Amino acid sequence: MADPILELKDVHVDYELDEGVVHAVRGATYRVFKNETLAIVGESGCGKSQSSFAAMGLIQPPGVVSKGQILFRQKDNRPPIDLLQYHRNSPAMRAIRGGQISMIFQEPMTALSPVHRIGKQIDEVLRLHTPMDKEQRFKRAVELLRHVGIPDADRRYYQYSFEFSGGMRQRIMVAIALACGPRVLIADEPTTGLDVTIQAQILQLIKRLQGEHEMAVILITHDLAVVAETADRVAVMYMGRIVELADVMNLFQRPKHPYTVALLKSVIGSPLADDGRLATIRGSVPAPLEIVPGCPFHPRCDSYIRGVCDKTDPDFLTMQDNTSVACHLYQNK
Amino acid sequence: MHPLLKVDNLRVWFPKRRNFFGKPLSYVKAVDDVCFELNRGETLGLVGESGSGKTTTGLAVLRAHRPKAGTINFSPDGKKVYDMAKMEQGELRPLRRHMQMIFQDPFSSLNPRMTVLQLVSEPLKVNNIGSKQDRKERVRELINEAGLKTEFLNRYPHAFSGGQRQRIVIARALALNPDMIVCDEPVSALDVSVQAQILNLMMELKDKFGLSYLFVAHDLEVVRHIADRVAVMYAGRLVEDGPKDKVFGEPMHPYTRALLVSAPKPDPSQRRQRHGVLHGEVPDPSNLPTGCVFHPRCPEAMECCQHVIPAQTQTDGRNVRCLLYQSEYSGSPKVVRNKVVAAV
Repeated sequence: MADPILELKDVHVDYELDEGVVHAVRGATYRVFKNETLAIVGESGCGKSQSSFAAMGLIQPPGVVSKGQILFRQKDNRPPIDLLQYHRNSPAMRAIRGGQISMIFQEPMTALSPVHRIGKQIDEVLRLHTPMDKEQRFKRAVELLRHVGIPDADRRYYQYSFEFSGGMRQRIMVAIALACGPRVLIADEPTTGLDVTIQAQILQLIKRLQGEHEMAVILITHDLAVVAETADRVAVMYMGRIVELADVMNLFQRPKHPYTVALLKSVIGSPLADDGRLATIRGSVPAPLEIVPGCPFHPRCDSYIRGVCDKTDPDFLTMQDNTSVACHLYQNK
Repeated sequence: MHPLLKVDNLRVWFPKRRNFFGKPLSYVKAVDDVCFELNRGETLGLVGESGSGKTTTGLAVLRAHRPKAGTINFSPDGKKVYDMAKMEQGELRPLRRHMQMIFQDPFSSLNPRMTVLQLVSEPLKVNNIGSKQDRKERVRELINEAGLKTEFLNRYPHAFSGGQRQRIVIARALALNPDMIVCDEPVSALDVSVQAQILNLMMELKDKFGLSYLFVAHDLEVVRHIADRVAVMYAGRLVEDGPKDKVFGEPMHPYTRALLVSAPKPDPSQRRQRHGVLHGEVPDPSNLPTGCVFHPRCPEAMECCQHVIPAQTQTDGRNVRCLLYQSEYSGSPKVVRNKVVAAV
């Protein structure tokens, strides 16, 4: 197997608030390879966005990346660099962010500037990351807009974001993210809030561009249908931890972690869900400041082993079928 | 026995421009010629993309909008029929207790300055039902039905999670024993596991109290799960409606088909190449295409679709509005699309 482009090793993200420390991410470990889509799923507040924000150097005070390594390989067959060694505002980090690792955000309306023409917003990325001159940049920007499916691109270059529909805005976001041909694209809920026919268009667009640029895509979403449709591998997060990481087929057909099983049973139309009454997970996600001893899922888990699950935190172990899972049921000791 | 709700040729147009004397010059045609029925104990799923007019239809049925034309025949007891489209607000008042609404966002649909007790007892208070003590008793009952603990009665909405708030909203909607509840995207703001809890609750309550839901949603899987019949809207028109199995199982209207193909399934073994991805976007409701509103995006458009508005045809156990199924047009020449619209 080739070398991973991006590798997170035991990354922790903490927010130091007046009320106490919120551990947003407690040990995220995953790798992404060329041309691969890794989906990170979980419910709101599970830390799925935070782990990849760390890779972009987007964790801002009071948040800190308190532990771990984020290894990024700028070129194939070269040793990777640890992004956490650079300050988020250092020139090295700025060169990588938006250039080699770029991001699509959920809300294209708030992610785009309302007071700059959209052409200028693409131009900015090119100006910061490439040596192109003004004319070349204009040509490239128009070409990018056309490439993401915006008709009449040289006229629309001069328009503002409010003059575009939601789907078109998301296409512009994609154009900005891909302007410099990044190696890693982080898509944070790229289609949430879009209509299904538009969602299908955007997902297909990302897929097509991924193939053209051989990008690694990290898809952050809560929508398991989108995951089933687009991902190669899936990481399931719960309370800041990755509880299971597996190939998409394995995960949907043979989930291992009780949380994954419960989650899939509650999704209408998944292979595990019943037709009548939907299965639910009892209780609710603990408040962010609450500290759950042992396995974070044990208070809601049906397979909870007294004296084990509430005492020690399970290790994140890899099993034969390339599935990694953090659960005491699968720790052969 | 009359159906609980029968809507005919409902038209909700919003004035866009007015002349000097205030007479509207042009309209935004949010809902145009919509007909459907809701029977007792039934759930009708109203699906469509944003801007298709599904929420406006739901609100018009409750007379939160004044329709421009059409009838809304509501019959809470099955004997007497009221045409709500023609009634004034004052006349509607006694009917209002028979219909309730559940909104999408449980964060903005609860007044942050009212406690759970106040929120849930407000409908009772407004209708002068019971003494203060009776009302409190009733609220306890409702809160239990909705799956919340009664010790929460004196808390404010901020102390609850999204799912719990939606339960408060449901308890409030049940307070007056309504016959019909219009649910506008009741679960789309919730996480999946919470979504399942709320859907289960809604289905239980429906059976227990004999409720009828007009369930407005964009999520086809949710509608497939909860609805008995489905109505699909596009750009203010109803394109297809009928039993769930017919409409989702063997869709006939090209838009319904495209919608079903576009929706991802939570099962990777069903992953497929998407051939039917629609080009383009939903048209602007103030500037709708002539003829069939779907023709500019329709993969099967015929030349006649550009100027003939399709009529409702009953075919194979459902109603569909498409010229493909109107015998006098069905063999017309297809539109040749020479330009590839916006490469995907």
